[in-house]
Amino acid sequence: MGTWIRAVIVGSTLALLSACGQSTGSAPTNAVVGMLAKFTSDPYFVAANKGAEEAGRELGLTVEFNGPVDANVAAQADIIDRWVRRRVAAIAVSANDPNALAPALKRAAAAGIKTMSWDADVAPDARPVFLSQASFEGMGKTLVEMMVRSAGTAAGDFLIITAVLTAPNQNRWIEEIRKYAAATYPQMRIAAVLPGDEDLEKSKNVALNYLQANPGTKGVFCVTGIATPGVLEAVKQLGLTGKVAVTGLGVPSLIRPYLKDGSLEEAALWNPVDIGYAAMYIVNAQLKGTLSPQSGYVAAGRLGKLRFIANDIVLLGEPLIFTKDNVDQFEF
Amino acid sequence: MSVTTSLRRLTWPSRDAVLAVLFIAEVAMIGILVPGYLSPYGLLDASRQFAEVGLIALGMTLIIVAGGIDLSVGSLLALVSVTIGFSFQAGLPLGAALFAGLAVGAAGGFFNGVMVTSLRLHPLVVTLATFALYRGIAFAVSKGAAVSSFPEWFGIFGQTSIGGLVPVQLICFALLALVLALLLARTPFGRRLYAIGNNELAARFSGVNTALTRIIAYTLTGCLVGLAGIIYTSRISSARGNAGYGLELTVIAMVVLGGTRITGGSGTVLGTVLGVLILSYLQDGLTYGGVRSDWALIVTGAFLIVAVLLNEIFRRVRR
Amino acid sequence: MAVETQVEMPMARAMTSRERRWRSWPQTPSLVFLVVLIVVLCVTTPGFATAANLRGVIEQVAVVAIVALAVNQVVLAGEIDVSTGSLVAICSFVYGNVALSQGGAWLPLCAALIAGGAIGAVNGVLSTYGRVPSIVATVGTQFILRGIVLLAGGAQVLNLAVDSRSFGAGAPLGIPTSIVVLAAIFLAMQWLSSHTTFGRDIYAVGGNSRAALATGLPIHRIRLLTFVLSGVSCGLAAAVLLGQIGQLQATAATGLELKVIAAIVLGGTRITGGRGSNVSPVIGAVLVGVILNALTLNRVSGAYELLVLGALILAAVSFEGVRQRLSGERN
Repeated sequence: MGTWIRAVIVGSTLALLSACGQSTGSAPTNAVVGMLAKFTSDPYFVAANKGAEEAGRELGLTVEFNGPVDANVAAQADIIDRWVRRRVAAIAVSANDPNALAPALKRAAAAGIKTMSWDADVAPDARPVFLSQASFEGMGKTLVEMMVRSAGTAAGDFLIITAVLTAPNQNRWIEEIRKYAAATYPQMRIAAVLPGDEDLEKSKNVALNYLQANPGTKGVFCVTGIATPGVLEAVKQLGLTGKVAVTGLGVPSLIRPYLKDGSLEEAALWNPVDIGYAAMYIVNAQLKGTLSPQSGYVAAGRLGKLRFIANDIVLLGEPLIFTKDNVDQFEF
Repeated sequence: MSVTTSLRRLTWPSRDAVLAVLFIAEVAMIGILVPGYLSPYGLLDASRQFAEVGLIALGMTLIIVAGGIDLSVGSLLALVSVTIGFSFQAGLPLGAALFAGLAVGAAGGFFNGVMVTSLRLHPLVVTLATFALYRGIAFAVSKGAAVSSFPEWFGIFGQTSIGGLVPVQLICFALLALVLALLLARTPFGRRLYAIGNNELAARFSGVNTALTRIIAYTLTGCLVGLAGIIYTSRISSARGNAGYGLELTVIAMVVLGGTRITGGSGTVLGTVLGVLILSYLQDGLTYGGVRSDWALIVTGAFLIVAVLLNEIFRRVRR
Repeated sequence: MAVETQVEMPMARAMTSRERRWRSWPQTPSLVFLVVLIVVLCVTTPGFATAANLRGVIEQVAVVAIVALAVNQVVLAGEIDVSTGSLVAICSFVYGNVALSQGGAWLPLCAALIAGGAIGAVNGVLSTYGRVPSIVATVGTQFILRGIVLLAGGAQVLNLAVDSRSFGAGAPLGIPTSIVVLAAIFLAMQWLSSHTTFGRDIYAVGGNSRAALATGLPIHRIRLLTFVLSGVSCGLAAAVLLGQIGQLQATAATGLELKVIAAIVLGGTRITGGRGSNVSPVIGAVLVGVILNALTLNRVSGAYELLVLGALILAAVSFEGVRQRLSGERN
């Protein structure tokens, strides 16, 4: 008797949990597109999802947004595999590691699913097209120029705080920073690249410890938006505002107070809502078979025409630079 | 003892019957709620994700039955994976690198066992230290980077299937589950594990070499972690230091869900297998149905607590 | 040196100073190690011995130390709490939202303390009356809470106003606020342990729960209260953390539980309960902080951090194990 009571209670608990866990929405008659973020608890990716959903509504696509809870690539591969099993129409990824997702994406392609990458690329042979938010060279140049403006000089030691050490877009930008600096400002020396692991507190502590040991540092590059507020706090705490320049990527909602009080002069980003939006238009072109690099551009709804800057790379646009004057215009 | 009695004892204790019913009910529920989920291919394919965790859970069952615990399995998995990847990158032939990975797994388990027994330290504390130590070594060796270029044939462990349907790792898991079930239930070694878990002092006075038995349990788990590491690296096709974060807690949840008491002395491999299946298909169903990963955390945590609570409640009702 | 007994019996009176000193033996190895380490670092690493650096170190460990002081009591009572990371995250979520809508710092603090205490109570009930082993219960709540914080607050961006950051930012009289808070908590715990029956009872329950039960102590209630204490301290730590960083992140304090347990174990508290003092977790936390600081100052790559931490815990634990065997104690 006890056995059956057990079974009933646990079974109904399960049923309840399963019911709670069920995704809302009817069985999709639209094509389902899997939108994979680096991790889900980031206003940047949530904004990208908003853009993707907006495009989805315009195009008649159902966007399913998912990602690991932290910047974990194995979990990303798992999510892709389940989408493959479900035979979704397309998968769009922003990768935590360029090579680790390649096998999963190739499996998807073999199953007839359209694949593309946005924001953070995978190995080029694993996807036909990559949506780049800003050209890497453009980003490198913008970052260096912003730093020179903030620091007032290009000579000296500079620190870079990045995300996880394998993050592909960060690594490309760091490479471009080095290249542009070597070409234009040879006295600029990148003294260290330290990971903040997309964690505010860690980014702050890493910067704090480093700046205490190296007070002669002229500036800190934050190549991920999550690091910027943490680094700014570290600089403020050490009383080095004004002596150590901070610049890099910035998500407006996170950096607004620092722009207003002057501890941050400029930061760059692009509109994440737009990148999500554009990604869906590219996916749509893939699904309809109308994506053609030869024509040189992709039509992207309200964003107009997006250029192909290489056979397989579409450019979203130029980086947006935020200052205290324009930061209030942006909601993300 | 007649054949039917021993058969019945080995294969169908009543608690495990409940878990089996639960599992079937769960899969049916998911099948109803999520269109397209129920398909032989799909259900079998889901095993790719849980074969590794399942292997480790088998070993963990032995450890917990003997009254111990091992929090370092996730970190050891990362270390095994990094060993395979980076020794391969350093020039070792892949076959040798795989053996190196297995050896590292066994060594890690052995080290845990020795520390627990020789210094009479609480396994929680020892494996907490090795939890940090093993992953620390993995990070130090890999320096935050990853090795992702392996030869094609390496995918045989994690990415292929027999007859296009049954994943290789599932067969591996099933075989080892059978072996370990027999080991635990039908051999003197298994009986010793139960004895130590029930009352270590009494076991020692009965002449059981508690230290050796426990070391074997930990080392065996380490070997299983080594094997899981090979499958994992093959499946993801990448060796990196942050593999298996939080794995140990999921494994413990599965073992406890399967009816093994955390204080030791009782539990079966069959129960653990069912625990693995129930939790894995639940997470699989949720992700497949489009539910965000954040929910998986909540569900796993809730399941863990509910499982142990019910364990306790019904032990009293039974008595 | 007095022979250490195997069992801590509940005491009917306050301790004499000799007994108090005797009780602090477990901390001595870690304290000695810490002092030696600091001396070595002062000599070998330039930049370590500056006031700014040391201040920074203690500020960084403040959050860990505050939580460790309370979890120390849980461990002393014979249980464990690994949900502290997620607890701090959810309390900072509560604090942040209350601060945003009501402003100020004390009201959000109260909210955070209440939230922490309530969840601590749930941990406690599960672990005591629910007969769920505390490792399992707190792991379960850790998962559940983290999932809730991620879902509810994952996309939320919280910029705290300056007056809501009082517990972590600023430095009244030149001493950073977080250090002041830490000192206050330490004193409170000291008072609890040596001047209240509750504090004494915790040692009894952890040392030999059957004996404690036999003497009529309500062991379940005592253990439950230690969990509540742990939860409340997480609420306070959340206030300090938010004060330090100024922004909320849903993945905040991930991994805090490892640092907390490491601090407690390194400091010398016995994991099975009954032995330890309030100084232990603070020493342990400072030890961890100093070592990590030393790594950064010496330009050692961040990849080695966890390795050093793990080796350290292992060394401390082995040392304790050898010491126990030599002095004839059973585990």
